[in-house]
Amino acid sequence: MLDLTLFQFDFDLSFAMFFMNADKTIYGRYGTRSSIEDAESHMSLDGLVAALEGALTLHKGYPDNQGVLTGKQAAPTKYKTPNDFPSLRGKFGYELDYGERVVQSCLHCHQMIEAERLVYRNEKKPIPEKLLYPHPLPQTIGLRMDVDTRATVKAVLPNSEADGAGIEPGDVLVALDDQAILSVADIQWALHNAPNSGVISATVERGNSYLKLEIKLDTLWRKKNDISWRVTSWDLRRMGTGGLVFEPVTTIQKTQFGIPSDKLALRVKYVGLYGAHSVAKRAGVKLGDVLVACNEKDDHWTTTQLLGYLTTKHKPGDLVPMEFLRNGQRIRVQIRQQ
Amino acid sequence: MKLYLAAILMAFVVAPAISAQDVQKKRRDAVLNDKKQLDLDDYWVYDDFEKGRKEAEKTGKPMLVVFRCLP
Repeated sequence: MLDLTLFQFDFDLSFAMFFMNADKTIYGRYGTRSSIEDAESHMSLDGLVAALEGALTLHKGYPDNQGVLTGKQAAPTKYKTPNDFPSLRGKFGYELDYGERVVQSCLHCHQMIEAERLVYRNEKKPIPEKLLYPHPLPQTIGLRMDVDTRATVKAVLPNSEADGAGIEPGDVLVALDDQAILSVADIQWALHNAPNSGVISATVERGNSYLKLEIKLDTLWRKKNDISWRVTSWDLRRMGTGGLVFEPVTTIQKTQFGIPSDKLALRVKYVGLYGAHSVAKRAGVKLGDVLVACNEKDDHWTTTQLLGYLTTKHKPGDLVPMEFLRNGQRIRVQIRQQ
Repeated sequence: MKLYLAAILMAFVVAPAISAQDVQKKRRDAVLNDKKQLDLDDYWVYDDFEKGRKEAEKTGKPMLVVFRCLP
């Protein structure tokens, strides 16, 4: 059974690596994903080789370099194994059954995120932001990395947190929040454990010098982490939208529908059909309907923002009014939160 | 005719079940074959972290730990 006091990574992944010392000290992580369709856009063999070389360097310098490794270790958790989550208890054995039922005996990693969210949801508490927007990608703070390298910055989004810190394309991100960086996954780990607002340090190598910079994180930074691609968002959709999957409506289409470009418009591209995922269907929502208001709000939201709003501002049992556009008509439904 | 219709309906009912079973079987075979191959391979330690850790301790080398979803 997975030891969660040791191995913590982005549980929406289907592939993840750890570089470690025999005393269980973690040197780094590797493995990143940001979409279902393109699972490997943040990884490359060259990038992995560079990360492995970095891990070997850290291994040579260990234990004198413990200071840059402290933050990379697993965070304290009350769930020591997946079986400790209330909703998973007793569902899986402590070992895989390498017989006929090997597939059924294997717990899927994403189930752990869902199980932890359920703990809060069942207690009618808001899901913490760290759990709702896990393992932020570098672009959340405006960084695009060269995936063929260990941690070279390829581009910086203007007016982003990284831009504000003074990070430039070509910089090598040596450390983030005082943690040695070997990969995009390492950046994600540092951001995952960063505060919801505050300042984290970034050390970059630029030319022949090292610069220590400060990245300012405001209260909205974590919410920019796109979670719409994640397997675990399936359960958030059940909780908040009653089983709806949305896709964005383009500005041109908005004009055709008579919706201002800065207002909400998300088209229903899938309606859940069964059980707890069919709440929206039973409320009358149909494929192709366009969501134009949620609880009287019509801000220009992405799927991530909509799910974030519903699962933090509403509790199970709440009835949330939603308004959809269908063939030029406005249709109002109530979606019971789960 | 009724028998023919019943046969068609049965085919529709049974087909998805068979398909799901096929997927399960494919995945099971993929995992078991994967394990068999890696068990014969001296290079990797399969599903036994403690064995790998002891080897790293003995050799002084670092560990590469890989987590993969079922193939």
